[in-house]
Amino acid sequence: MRINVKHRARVQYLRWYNDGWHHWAFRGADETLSVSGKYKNSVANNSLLLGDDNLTKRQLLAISGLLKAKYIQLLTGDGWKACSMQNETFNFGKSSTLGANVQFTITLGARVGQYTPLYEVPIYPTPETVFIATWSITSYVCENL
Amino acid sequence: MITLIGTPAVVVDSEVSPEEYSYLLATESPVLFTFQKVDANVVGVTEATSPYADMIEIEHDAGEIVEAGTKVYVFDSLYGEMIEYTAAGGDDGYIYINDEYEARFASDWLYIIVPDNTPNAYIEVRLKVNDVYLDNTIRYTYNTKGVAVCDISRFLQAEISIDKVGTYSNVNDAETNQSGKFELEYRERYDGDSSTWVEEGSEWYYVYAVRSKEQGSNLWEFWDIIGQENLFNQFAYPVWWIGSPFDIQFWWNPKYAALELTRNNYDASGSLLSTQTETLDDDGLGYLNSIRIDEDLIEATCDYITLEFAEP
Repeated sequence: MRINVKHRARVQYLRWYNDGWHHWAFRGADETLSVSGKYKNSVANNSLLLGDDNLTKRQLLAISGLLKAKYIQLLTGDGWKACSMQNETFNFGKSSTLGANVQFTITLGARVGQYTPLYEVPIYPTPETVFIATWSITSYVCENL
Repeated sequence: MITLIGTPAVVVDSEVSPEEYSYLLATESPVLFTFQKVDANVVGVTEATSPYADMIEIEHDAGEIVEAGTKVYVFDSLYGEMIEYTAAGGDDGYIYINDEYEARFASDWLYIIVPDNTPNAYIEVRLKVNDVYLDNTIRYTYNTKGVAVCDISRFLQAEISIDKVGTYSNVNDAETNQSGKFELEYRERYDGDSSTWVEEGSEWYYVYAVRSKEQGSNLWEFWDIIGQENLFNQFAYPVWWIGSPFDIQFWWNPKYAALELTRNNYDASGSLLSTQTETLDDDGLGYLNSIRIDEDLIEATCDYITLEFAEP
């Protein structure tokens, strides 16, 4: 059984339970704050646009377990916070050179009912040391699927 | 009389004697135990003679089970259905019915059910989950063929919660909220009976997981971590981002009283950097276990690690 080791240069780290706990670090997020209703009848949402690319097909299938997972949690500076997939769809594209890429939106703090405060998502700190790989592009092209 | 005719067990090794079965089940798929109610087995079918001439004589393996006028249901295996008759009479080990004899009856008729002898019949099941009996027993009714299919998955689901036990701090942590074990007992019930509990006899294990309908509920591919080496994970090669909390699960088969985990670190060219062997905490025996790898033992040039399980 093999586990690949990577050095983290990304900030959004999810874990989800879908026939076992899974962990994956996704590319940085655009945060969208939205509030519906007014004052004491307001419901607030924090939505994070997450994604990743250069995925193999097998990784893509495993990550699609997010759609089936009942429980998804985001690692924040304040510990693991429950979140949910905003839409039950998963947008992914296929690039001939970079493998598959995936993009989706998760929602935090969503609660049905009256008045939910709008919190900022505490970001989990990135490591001090970040490894940056430099690639020299040569003439070959491969499909990473 | 009831008999357990079907369980979710799956053979994982048919070359050993006795065969090795997997008793590991997914809680989110139907966990089916099938029971057959039989009041008497058919021993033979012949054309009756005096005093029941021109009738069919059914010989069975029970005592006197019918009187004249009793409804009798005979299972015909040729058509897979129950045939309803009204008995014309009965002796010890015989039932007489008013119908035309055919030679095929002798091999096709398998068993008899006499509902009047067991009024309001049902089967009662109780579960002992993690050595504690559940407060409530479960009742299932028979279909017309005397078969009761008992799906106990929803009672196992009640034992599941999502709270993760593993805190990324120990070598292995038993995920007791997502796994456990149970035993099953059953008895036949009807008005006026005094049946005692019968133990099913196996120790079953459950994990919070789902299988497709075609796969059933048995998680046979995760039964043996040493032989099949399947981590409980959807990724072919899971990824650990150094600096982030990470663990990975496997199910500890109780046939291994102790387990050792050997970790090999490799660099990007596939050269072995280091090897470490640790003994796992046997509190995880029979449970889903989260394994944590000590980050301090990972070299800066490490590209991937491999895990191997073995008995010490």
